Amino acid sequence: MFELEEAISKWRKQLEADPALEPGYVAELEAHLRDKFDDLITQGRSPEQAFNEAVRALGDAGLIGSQFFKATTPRRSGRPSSQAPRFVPALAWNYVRTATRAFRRNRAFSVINVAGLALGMLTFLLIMTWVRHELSYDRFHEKGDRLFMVLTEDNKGASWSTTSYALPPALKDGYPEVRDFARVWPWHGSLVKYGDVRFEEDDIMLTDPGFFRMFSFPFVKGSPETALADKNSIVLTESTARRYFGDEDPMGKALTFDDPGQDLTVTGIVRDVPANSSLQFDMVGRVEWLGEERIARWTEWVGPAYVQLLPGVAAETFNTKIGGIFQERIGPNWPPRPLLQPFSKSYLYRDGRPGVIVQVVIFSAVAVLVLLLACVNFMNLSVVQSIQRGREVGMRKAVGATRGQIARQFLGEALLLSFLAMALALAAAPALLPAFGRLAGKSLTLFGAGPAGLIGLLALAAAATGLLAGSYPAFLLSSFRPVETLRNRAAAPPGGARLRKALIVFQFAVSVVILVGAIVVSRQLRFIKAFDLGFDRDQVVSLDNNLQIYPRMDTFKQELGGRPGILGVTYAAQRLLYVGQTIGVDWEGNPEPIPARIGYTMADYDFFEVFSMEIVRGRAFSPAFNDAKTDTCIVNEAAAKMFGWEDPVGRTIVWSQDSIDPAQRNVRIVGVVKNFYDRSLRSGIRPFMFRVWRPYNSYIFVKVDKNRLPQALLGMKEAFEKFAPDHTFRYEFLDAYFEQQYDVETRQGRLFNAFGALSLLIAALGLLGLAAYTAERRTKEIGIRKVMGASVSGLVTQLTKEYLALTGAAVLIAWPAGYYVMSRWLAGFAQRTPLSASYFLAAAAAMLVVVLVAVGTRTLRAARANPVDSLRYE
Amino acid sequence: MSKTLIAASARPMVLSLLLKGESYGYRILQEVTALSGGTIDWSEALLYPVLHRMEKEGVIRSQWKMSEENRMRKYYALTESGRRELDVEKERWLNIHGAFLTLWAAVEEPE
Repeated sequence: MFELEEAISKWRKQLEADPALEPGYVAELEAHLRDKFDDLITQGRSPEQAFNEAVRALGDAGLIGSQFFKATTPRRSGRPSSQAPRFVPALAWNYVRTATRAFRRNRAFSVINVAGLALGMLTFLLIMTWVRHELSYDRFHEKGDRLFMVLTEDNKGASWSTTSYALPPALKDGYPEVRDFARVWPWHGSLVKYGDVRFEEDDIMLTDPGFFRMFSFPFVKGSPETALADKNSIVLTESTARRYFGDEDPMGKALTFDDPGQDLTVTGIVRDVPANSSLQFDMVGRVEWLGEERIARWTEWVGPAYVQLLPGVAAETFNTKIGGIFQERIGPNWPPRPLLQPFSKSYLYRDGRPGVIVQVVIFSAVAVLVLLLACVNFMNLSVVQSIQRGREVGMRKAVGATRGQIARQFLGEALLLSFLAMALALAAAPALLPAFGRLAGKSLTLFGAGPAGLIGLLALAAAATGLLAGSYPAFLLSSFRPVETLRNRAAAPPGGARLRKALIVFQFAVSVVILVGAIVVSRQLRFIKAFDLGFDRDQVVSLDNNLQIYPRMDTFKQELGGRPGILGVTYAAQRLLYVGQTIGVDWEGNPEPIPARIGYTMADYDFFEVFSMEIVRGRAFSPAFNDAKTDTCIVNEAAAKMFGWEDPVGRTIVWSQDSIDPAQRNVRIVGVVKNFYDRSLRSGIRPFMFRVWRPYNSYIFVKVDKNRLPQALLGMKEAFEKFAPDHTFRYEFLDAYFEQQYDVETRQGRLFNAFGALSLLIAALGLLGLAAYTAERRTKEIGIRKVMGASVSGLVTQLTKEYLALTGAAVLIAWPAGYYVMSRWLAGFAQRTPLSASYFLAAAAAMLVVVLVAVGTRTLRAARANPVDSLRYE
Repeated sequence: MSKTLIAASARPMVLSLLLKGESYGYRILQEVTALSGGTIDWSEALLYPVLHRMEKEGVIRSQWKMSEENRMRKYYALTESGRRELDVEKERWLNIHGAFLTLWAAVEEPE
């Protein structure tokens, strides 16, 4: 039988359970229900039907509640008054206080934590600043997307940043796609005079009038259109102009150049060239200095050249179109073809091959890894630290905190710390940037092009780190029942341990890889520096020759030779290790249809003596044979091998150089010199030829007695100033010059060492914290073990074992990774130190020592503690 | 009838119904249904929150009273500000109404 009152009271109770409905509302709804019920009964429904229909019409409790809530809520957020607020402002101070309390309770631990993260962020910031600097090279040219460098590719797919000098003008004349061109030749130097003011200028660039039309070097005076219109014009940078003219107006004034022996008129002043330009110069002149006939030759392969294509012309299509131009113009058997590469890539991809970009990638990876390491550390340490706050969480829950509130509290705390670390990193970066810049060999400005990207990235890292670090206490701790967390001292995270271990393994592995990298780089550098190049570079001083000495080279040689401490003097057109010149030679039995290109330099008598190069067959150059006036040459073993001659002495080879009188093209080999490196070690040994050429050689080489160096240098200076009073005496030691060539690698090595140390430091910081935590958590266990008779050493072993296993796992991952990366790096060198197993062992050992020291010290303390204290604790 | 139109007209409707004297929730509902011939169908749960909000805003006031059928009911009555709001509302609705009439008359005439 249906009982109305019973049904109504049941319904009422349902409504009353909804916190949004106050008793008054419910009473009103009840009156409504009763009215409706009465109406329905009058309409002839059964009481049960009538009641059900009336209830249905009103809707269920939840719906009514939400409708009421919408109408009555006092909160702007629209959150029901029945639910706890997301944030209780009254608790804000309490949150800050508990956070600072927790921070203070483990002060060292917390400082380590934040400092570690800040360190990682700082490293990231510094490296990325450098990366951005490298990537910003040559990006400031307005027409940048239409500028291309003309490379030459041979039939083996190798390419060089050089091209035939006749090609760019021919491209402009013959192809409507080409808007403009500029060939670039760095002039070797000149003594420049304006009245009494004189300077040795090294950064003189020779180019075509198109140069300033194509590249955006802003003009202070003059215009890019007309500046280089005249062959006798010269454009200066602002600071160069100031050196000569001070506050005078330099426009239209003439500067005297001793080489090429001309007066040139200043026709334009440009702003100083920015550091991130691969085209660097103090002065810009016309490429016609090199000789009009020379620059019109198809077989003259010198310097880089640039072209500007019309908008919309694809370089690939154009490359195909001009692919056969050398065969057309020079001869059908010439294998090379021109190749256009976007100008903006010319810094990162030298000679069409990955160059600086490799470093950029390696260091970006290192930056990200170090940041990741620091973040992982921060997470690990934060998680560990928050475990101790289980009771706080229990207490908060017991007095009514919701999970959401606790989650927000802990996330907020972790975010606060991670952003504090970021702020520290940002604050420290400007102070450390100059030092870092010196290490990297660049003058860097923080954020260079604009701070947005980097800070955004860093903020993202900070946010992610904070969120992940805070997620353990936020989500796991808050899920425990308060009773449990209050009863136990702390609840260990069940799944967290495995994750933490994985993170540690990752961290160790990265550190070991970076260590292997640091070791291999430094080994390779030592290897290179000690490498026998086939000539003696120690104790050889190089001087720049000049026009005042040229006519008297023999007397200058005698003058120098007689002075104390000077063991030998010679001249050459090129410096070994930096030989740019090649010549074409042909010989009887050449298997190829075209002449081979081999390295070449003009030299003077005594060259092989000064450089202690061994003549393996025949003889060295000697005045006795009058080599300067005869058709003799000396080749190296590689050239002899290429000619395929057992004994090349006495045989004849043919120059194939248009510029040489056909009557003088046959040269006789009089000696074979032992193989040597004429460029860097990366390039390897190539066939090479020397000839004696007396009237003109750009460099003077002096072998000095190491023990009488000051006298020797003084003697050189006196002789130089006597012969060339207009010029400044400047000298360079060849071995220093050699090492300079490995500047990039040396810097790489230094950076690697720094980052290796840093990553170890970060790992050690993290370990220190973790070990402290483990030891503390196991205080009781250690106490019981000691009471039962465990020895201190046994306990330390026990506690350290876990970390040793993790180190082992990390090393197993790191070795193959390190091997892969470093063998790739070494592949860039022609001569490389073998990847010895000892490097890997050393890196692992270093890691192990760090682990043992970090874990051991803390563990030892725990193991030594009096068991009575630890057991009395509970 | 669309929900938005019902929601928009609910307030002026309640104000208008209360113009002739105090009333309670259930009777308001019934009167609306009767007035519109059943085309305006207010959800029952909707009415009370609307009444409460209006009360809170001060356009109506309520009082618990014992009815003739011996049942406690909450009676709602217009306040002074309610009357003023109704005047404004009335003008608005008449404006709209007038606009529609003119529009439709203009369309019908050419036929």
